[in-house]
Amino acid sequence: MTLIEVAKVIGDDLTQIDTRLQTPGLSDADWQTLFALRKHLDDIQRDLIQESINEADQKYQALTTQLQQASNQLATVITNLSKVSDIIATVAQVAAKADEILNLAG
Amino acid sequence: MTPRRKQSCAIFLLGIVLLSILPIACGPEDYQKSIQQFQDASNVVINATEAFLNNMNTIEQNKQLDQTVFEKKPLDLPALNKVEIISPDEIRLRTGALNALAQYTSNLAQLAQGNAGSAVTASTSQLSTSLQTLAQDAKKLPGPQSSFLNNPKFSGILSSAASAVGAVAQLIVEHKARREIEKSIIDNDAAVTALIQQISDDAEGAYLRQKNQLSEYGVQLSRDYDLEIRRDPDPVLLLILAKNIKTYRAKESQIPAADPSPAIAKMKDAHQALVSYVKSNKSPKNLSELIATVQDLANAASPLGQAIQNLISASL
Repeated sequence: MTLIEVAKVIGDDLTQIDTRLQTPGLSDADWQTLFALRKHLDDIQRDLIQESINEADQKYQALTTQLQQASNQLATVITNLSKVSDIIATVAQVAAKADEILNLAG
Repeated sequence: MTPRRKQSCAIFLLGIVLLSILPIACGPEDYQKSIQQFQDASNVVINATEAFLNNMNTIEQNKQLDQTVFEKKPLDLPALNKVEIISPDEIRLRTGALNALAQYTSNLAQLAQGNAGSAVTASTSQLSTSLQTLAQDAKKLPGPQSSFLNNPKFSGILSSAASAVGAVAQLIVEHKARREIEKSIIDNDAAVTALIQQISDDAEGAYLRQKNQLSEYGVQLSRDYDLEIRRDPDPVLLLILAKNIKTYRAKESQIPAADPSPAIAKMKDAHQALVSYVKSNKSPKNLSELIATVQDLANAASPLGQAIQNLISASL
């Protein structure tokens, strides 16, 4: 996976998070937590676009696979409006993997 | 054999005959038509990319303007004009490089037909100089943290491509044998292809950021509306918010079709198909593939220009 493809995966996650943030029903506290995670992911995406990386690096490849898995998980949980804590936990997982990729690139 | 079965066999045989003569059916006129089509489609893609990149700043400035008005803060239009996500130089260098590469591909196409006239020689030589100048200018672009784009990477790839085109131009100017020029084109092509790919990646990055800015703006508008209706809502403010939400929705619906990166990737495919054609000693099969990739590029370019115009109109 290229860095621009990683940025695209994060972009797709952000679109899903934004749809959730625009849907009524979240408590103020949950909305703020999810929005803060959104801002963090957005910052990571911006920084990743500026970076260069050795795409053949095994650690990088393993991390991108884990990021993709966390994103797939997000696509599953985000539609369940009654389990906001699961959504927040999965977004945090996506952000953690994206952070690791950024640290590897930076 | 039943009449129906005979008819099926006839259609099958006709299909095989058509497939076998298709490569031969592409003659010099098809080739010239493809070169023109490549130039026309490339111009559309380059202009669309420029408009799309410029629109990044407009979206960000409009987002900040709306927020200032909503928060009832004083308006500072000169300060707003300085809000820049992508600088005019960053746009100029990328579209300038893309323009030079499109012209280079067209010149290669003329050379492949044995048309190495003085116009092609002068143009290729001029392109080499232009790319060298662009590469020098690219070194002055802001580094990390000052731009969302990877300018050092772009600058390095642009320098390599400028050297590659320079090497080919030198052989043309020296009137070297066609075989030698063609070998140089093939040997140096990785650097040229890498530059088109980098510009495509930069456009994709710009698209992703533009999409996210818009999406975040939608979240902000939705939140503003939600907070307003919780207190004693001001109907005028609600109407203004509703108007902004409508504009946001119009822009959001236009943005996926306005992404220029797939069309730039198709420019790269057409360029590679041309080099493969040269490499194959101009086989009819490769000529058919070249014509098909140019048609793909034209198909991608045509709706792109309109989509970007729609996106910009939606911002007004």
